[in-house]
Amino acid sequence: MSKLLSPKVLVPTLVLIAGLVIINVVFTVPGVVLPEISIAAEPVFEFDLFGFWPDGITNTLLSSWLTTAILVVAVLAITRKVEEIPGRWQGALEMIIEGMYNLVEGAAGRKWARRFFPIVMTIFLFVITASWLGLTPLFGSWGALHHAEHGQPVEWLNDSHSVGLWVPAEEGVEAEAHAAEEDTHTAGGEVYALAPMFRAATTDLNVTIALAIVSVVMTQYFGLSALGLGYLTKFINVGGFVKAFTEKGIGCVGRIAAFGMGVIDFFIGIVELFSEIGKVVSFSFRLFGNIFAGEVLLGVMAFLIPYLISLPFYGLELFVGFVQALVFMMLSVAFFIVATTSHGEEGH
Amino acid sequence: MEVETMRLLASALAIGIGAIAPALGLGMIGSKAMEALGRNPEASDQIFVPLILSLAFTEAIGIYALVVALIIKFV
Repeated sequence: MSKLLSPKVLVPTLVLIAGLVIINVVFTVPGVVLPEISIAAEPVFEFDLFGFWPDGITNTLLSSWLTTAILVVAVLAITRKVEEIPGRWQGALEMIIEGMYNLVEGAAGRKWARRFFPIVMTIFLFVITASWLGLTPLFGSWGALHHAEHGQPVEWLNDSHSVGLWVPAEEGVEAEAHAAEEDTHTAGGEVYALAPMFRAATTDLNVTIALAIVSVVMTQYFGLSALGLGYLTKFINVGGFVKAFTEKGIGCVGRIAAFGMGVIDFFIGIVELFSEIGKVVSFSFRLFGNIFAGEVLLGVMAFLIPYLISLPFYGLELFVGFVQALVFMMLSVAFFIVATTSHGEEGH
Repeated sequence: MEVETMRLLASALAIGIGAIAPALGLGMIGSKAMEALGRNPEASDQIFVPLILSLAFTEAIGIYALVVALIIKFV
């Protein structure tokens, strides 16, 4: 914090902000408009390869490719020549990997950490890179304009493919106000909405559900590989019934009591089955909600008080991106651990 | 009341009421963590991961409310 407030940093920042404000006043740039908030990702390209993308390529798909490309290129470039005494970049990468590995090892133990680590670290790196990419310039602010008419198919304006948040704003805002007045969206001038070319990959529910499914499927895989078929008795638990009919020397009353416990165990197994689905839901909505809410927050704050007020929230969003990536990773590890530890025979 | 009015009200109420409980929970988790750190500062490493996990679980409830509010408002 003290470094942040030192004149070396503070003066250029203030000069930049003052410059932006002066430019805004002198040239009367049409201000910042409230971004169009859309939960679904907007398609930006018409590109239907073998019927894979009938609705076109969405902006979140583009940026998830970008995220993957950045990660692959960065890691390949850093590990191209690995040295005994690491250089700057290799040192940084080793520090990240080692810190995370120690975290996983502390939770899962030496044996399992080696198997858990690749999958959870990949998830961590993907999520954090995707979320932080969404905070860089151009993300969410540069894209194609289209007429905003509810219930209408998107109509492309070919000549204005590269306008940012502050486009036909005056016209648009006026028209919107006008439209609201007359309670119709086509009245007055034309209303525009921006379909950003890039949008953070984790603000798409499809991405987060995919990650969550990967995590939950890997949970089953690790459970099966640790406990064999015995893992399935967690879900289809008939051990109580077997015990009720085969246990010796518990008498008639004991047998009925054991049967009752068996029924309870059986239903607990079914509940476990549903909790696996619940995991997918909670994983995906947590990540999506956090990152998406962050983007909306930044947009709304920039709209309310331009330039200045969104700066602290950028810091907050950086932190949220890190914490959500860490949470996704550590929750996966926690579920993996639960799945790999035997819990059949010990007393409840 | 018109549908649009109801929508605005409903989304505001969804996030407003839905944020109360997670806020209380987050406060409780934070205060307990600070208490634990005060009693035993060396344990900060062991506290960190469970702290983050429980924060995430609690916060997820608030996020559900937010998602519901957004869906009411925009879908």
